[in-house]
Amino acid sequence: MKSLKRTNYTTKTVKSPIIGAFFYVLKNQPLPFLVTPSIKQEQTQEQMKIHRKVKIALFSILGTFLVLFVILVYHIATAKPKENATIQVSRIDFDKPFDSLSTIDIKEKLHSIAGVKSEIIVKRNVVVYFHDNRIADSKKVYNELMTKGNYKAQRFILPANMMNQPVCPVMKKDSWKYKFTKLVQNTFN
Amino acid sequence: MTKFSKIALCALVIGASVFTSCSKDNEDPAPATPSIYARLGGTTLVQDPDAAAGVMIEAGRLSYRKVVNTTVGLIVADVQSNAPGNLSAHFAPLLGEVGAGNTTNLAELVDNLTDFFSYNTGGTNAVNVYSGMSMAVAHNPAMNPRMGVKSTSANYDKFEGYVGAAAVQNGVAANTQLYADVVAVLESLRAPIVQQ
Repeated sequence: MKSLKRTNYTTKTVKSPIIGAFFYVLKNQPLPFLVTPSIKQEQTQEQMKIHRKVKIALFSILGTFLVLFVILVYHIATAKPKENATIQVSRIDFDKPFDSLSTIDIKEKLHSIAGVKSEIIVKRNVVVYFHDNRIADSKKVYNELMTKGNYKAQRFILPANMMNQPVCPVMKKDSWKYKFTKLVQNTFN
Repeated sequence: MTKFSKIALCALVIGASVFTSCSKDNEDPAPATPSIYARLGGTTLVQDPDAAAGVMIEAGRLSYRKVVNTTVGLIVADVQSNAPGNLSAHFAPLLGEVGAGNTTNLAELVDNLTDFFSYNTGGTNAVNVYSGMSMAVAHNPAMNPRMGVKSTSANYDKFEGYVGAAAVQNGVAANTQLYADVVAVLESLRAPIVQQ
């Protein structure tokens, strides 16, 4: 209703009625002496209808945001945190296979390095271990392990041809879906 | 004589009903075999070996997590360039991400698999609730962008072999009923997972 109020230029802001009329024209408002009461009423009702629609639209948008916000809060509150969210798997390839004794030995040495998790897999000449990447990355673990024995080994780094293997061949890389997915993944990861 | 006959008849009926009620038919049935989850340790809380002191985990869940981690480790140990049949086509992209420092998907895979097996084998506490995709959807490249190619029956045989080896490494002997039951669970998932 506030916007329905017209500025009374003749009585409040402008002394001269002619200049006042000029301001009415300038503001695209009908001059008071030309507007009959019935026209005024119709205009008011029409404006009220528009305002009602605007109000409904605004409340709808606000309500939608509120519902989405509540859902988000509920989701965050009830989400089960991932166990070992910073877990990383790494592999070291040695020059010769392990027997039962050397398997125990290498496991003990790896376990003594901070950040290395409980599961260590020894298969032939390969050792795979899990570690917390906040505490130690694979290079740090490898360097520390090499100081604990006379080993000939190298850190396994995935060959480029395998690393570049497309995760999703069903999605074209130049499609908007692929680009959007990458954007979202890059934002949250 | 008639009086005695009636008394004898009543005694016979009462005796028959008493002895019938005590027969073996009404004994309690043999206790059902505990769930796989219960046999793997169940809901007993134990210290999580990969968490800070005082952080507890259900023993059944920990057993599954160990088997899942070992399975992933065995698969990673076999990843070789241009070596067919070692599941590298399915796991190399994940390894590539992990090597680049993005560990989210590895943690999610391990957590989801642990939830899935725990919940569906008797570990129905809230901690094990599985919220991932159905097996059919998760293994359909058209519905799950993470799935590079469809699994074959040979892929699944290989995967079952890895899980079996992982179970043995974590104390489930291959000649036990528990091992057979775990294999039966895996076999029940073959149909939705193998899609070519």
